[in-house]
Amino acid sequence: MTQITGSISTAVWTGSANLAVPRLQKQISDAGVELSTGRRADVGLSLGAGAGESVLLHAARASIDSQTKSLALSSSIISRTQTVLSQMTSDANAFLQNMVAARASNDGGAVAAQQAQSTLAALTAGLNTSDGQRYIFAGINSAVPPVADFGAGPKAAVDAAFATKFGLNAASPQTDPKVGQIGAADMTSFLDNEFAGQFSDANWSAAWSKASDQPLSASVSGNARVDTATTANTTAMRNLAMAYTMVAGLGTANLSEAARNVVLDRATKMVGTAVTQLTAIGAGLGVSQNRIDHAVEALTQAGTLIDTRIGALEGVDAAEAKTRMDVLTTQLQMSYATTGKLMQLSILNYI
Amino acid sequence: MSLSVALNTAQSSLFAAASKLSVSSRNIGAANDPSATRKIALTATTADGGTRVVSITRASNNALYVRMLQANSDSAASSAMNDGLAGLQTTIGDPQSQTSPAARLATLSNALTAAANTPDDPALGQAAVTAAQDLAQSLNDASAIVQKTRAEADGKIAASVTHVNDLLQQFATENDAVVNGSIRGADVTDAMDRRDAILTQISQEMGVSTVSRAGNDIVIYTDSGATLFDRSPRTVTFQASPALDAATTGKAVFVDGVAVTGADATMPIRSGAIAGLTKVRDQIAVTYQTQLDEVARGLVSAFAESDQTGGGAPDAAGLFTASRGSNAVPPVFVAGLAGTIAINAAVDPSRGGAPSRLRDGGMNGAAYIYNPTGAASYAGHLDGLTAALNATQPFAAGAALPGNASVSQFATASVSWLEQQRQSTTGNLDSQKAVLSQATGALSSATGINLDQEYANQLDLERSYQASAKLMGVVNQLYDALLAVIR
Repeated sequence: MTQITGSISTAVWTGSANLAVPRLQKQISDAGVELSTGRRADVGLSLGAGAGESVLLHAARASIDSQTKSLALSSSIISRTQTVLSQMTSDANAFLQNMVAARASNDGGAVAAQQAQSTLAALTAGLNTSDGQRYIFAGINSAVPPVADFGAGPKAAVDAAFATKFGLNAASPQTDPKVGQIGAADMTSFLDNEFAGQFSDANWSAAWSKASDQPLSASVSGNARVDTATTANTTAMRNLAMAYTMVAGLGTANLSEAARNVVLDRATKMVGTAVTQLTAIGAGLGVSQNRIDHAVEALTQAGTLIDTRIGALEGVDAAEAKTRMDVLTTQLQMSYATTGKLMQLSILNYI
Repeated sequence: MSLSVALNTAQSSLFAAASKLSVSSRNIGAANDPSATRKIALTATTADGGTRVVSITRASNNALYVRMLQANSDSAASSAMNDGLAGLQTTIGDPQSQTSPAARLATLSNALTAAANTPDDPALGQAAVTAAQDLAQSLNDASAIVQKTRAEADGKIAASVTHVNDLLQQFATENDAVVNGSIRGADVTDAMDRRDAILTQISQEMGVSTVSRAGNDIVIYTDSGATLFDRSPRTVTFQASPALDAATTGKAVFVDGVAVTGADATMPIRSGAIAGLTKVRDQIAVTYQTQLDEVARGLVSAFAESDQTGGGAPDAAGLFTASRGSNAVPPVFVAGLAGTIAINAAVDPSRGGAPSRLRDGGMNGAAYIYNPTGAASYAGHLDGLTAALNATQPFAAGAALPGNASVSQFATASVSWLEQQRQSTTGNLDSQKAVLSQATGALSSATGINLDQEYANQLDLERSYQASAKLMGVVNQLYDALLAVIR
């Protein structure tokens, strides 16, 4: 028997159509996965060297979500601070009006002292505002309430300074009858020196405030941080505390008219300054809020871009996958049909 | 020409047809054996004009056979590498999943950013520590998987070597049968088929090249030139390693005393399963382990704490320690670091630590405290840690990745590297499989059996047998007529 050119063995004749079957089945199964998930069946294999980028993109996506969440928290801290600041401003304005009224009436001193006391209590409460997790005016030392109640804390030192200066009854200098004899010049000197000393940096942090000078902040982009609150140590807060204490704690009810006017004048002036400073702080926080809003907007945009990129890297065009699946299915059917046909073709059937 | 000569011719033709039919039926019987070749009965005309079958040969095509062997070896090597890489790929999983160290590292980085934005929330600090623990664990796991992949490859090499030795013994038996049979002039075609089948199996394990000698003798060399078989089988030796870790190198395979794998191989084999497995065990897995180790070292050094008092004490391990209880910061590559990296006991609540030390520092004593007042919303150190994660640092050259990168970039590059290896190996495997299938098909078509053709031949032979028998009948009648005349 001679070798025939272009001959074929029975194994190749019947097997060649079959050879493609496992490959086709694998491809159909992959196309099925791609259709149902919308992603490539084996993302790592299809991306190769680009797989690292895909891991990074997914991480960046998670990072954007977590940043957006923490910026929302920062926004809420800012609004909280703004609310407290505007309350303080309106308290201060009410106090200023009351000072004018107090000056006009005879028993104005007693009323003014009363009002100053309650405004001071409101200031303390405002500074100790907490959002449940942190004291927002405490700066980074946010775990402890920043300011002590006036009566329980700084009052002792103020009383002592007052009593020593004017030789008053140490137990209750405000009600000592000698208070009425204090002259305007003496009062001015006391306010300028001993009293102001109570609010120096050292005494403020010793007797009044446990807050840190560094306010709460949030990072908006990369390492840039913006303040999300102010602290109890700012000049505005100290001025307010000083003015309210002046009127509330120096026996204003019993002072001579001249001395009382010195106190009221000084307090009015300080509160006026403080209101301006509060407005400036509010404006600063408004800028922070603005930057946070921009950052959130930028993050949203970046998120969309990342989603698009992930889609481009890993995604599969559903229409294309469906078409591919149809083509593969047809191919597989043809392969089965061919195998069947070839099996039937035998010389035995024709002899 | 006499009647008896005519009778003789008819007789020899009858025998020849019977022999050919028997060869053809052998072909039909072997049609389903992929290694069987088509047997051919060669006939010659005798002096008195008859025909007889002088020998039986087989259809062969050496060029196609050699090409099939080569394709077989190449595809076996790629297949072994592909299996190894698939094992290593389980350390990564889907890029979307949180399996890979790179993804875990990104999660840690996010957790740190979240903690830095709200440092006074202990839950976020705790979350960052948990993320760090997951990262350390994923590096430990990945390292274990890499070493398991190496150990598996080592075990498979041992199995391959045993198989090759067995096959060489079988080859010796068949080769002896062929050589001895050829001397006697016997039919050796079946033995030759079996010998080829054994050689095909050997080529699966290691690349081979063959030289044919007189008397149908065959000498086998590895594709690098070491002698596997020359009249007698040579011994292939390999010592499997009972345990492999990042610091140990697997043993080499020796053929007839010559090293054919490993760094010191004088004749390194290029294809076959053993070559592929060796590449997985000694190169791919080792490089990947180096990358993991360098990620681990990068983490220990990025999170290291420095002396805050100005006392100049050396940096000490912070959130990540090179191993449990150690506070050293390794300055250069340490093999196996990924397997031992752990989070610092000082921040691990399950070991009596406080997660707040991540915010405040001080895992190595008072000199390393960054937040001396203990302020609850202090973010400076956490910001610093995020910056350190993204800061460029040097990495070992053995990792086959850029030498200067941030830990995050390095970990991501490692993912890319592995997937790229996988992609290129899968591509190679696919094309080599196609080549193998094409070469096998071509060989089978050239030397294999076609049932239809055999059947058609048998019809031919049947006719020839009938004609010869008829002729004998005619001669018989002539004799009868002649004898009747004489009587």
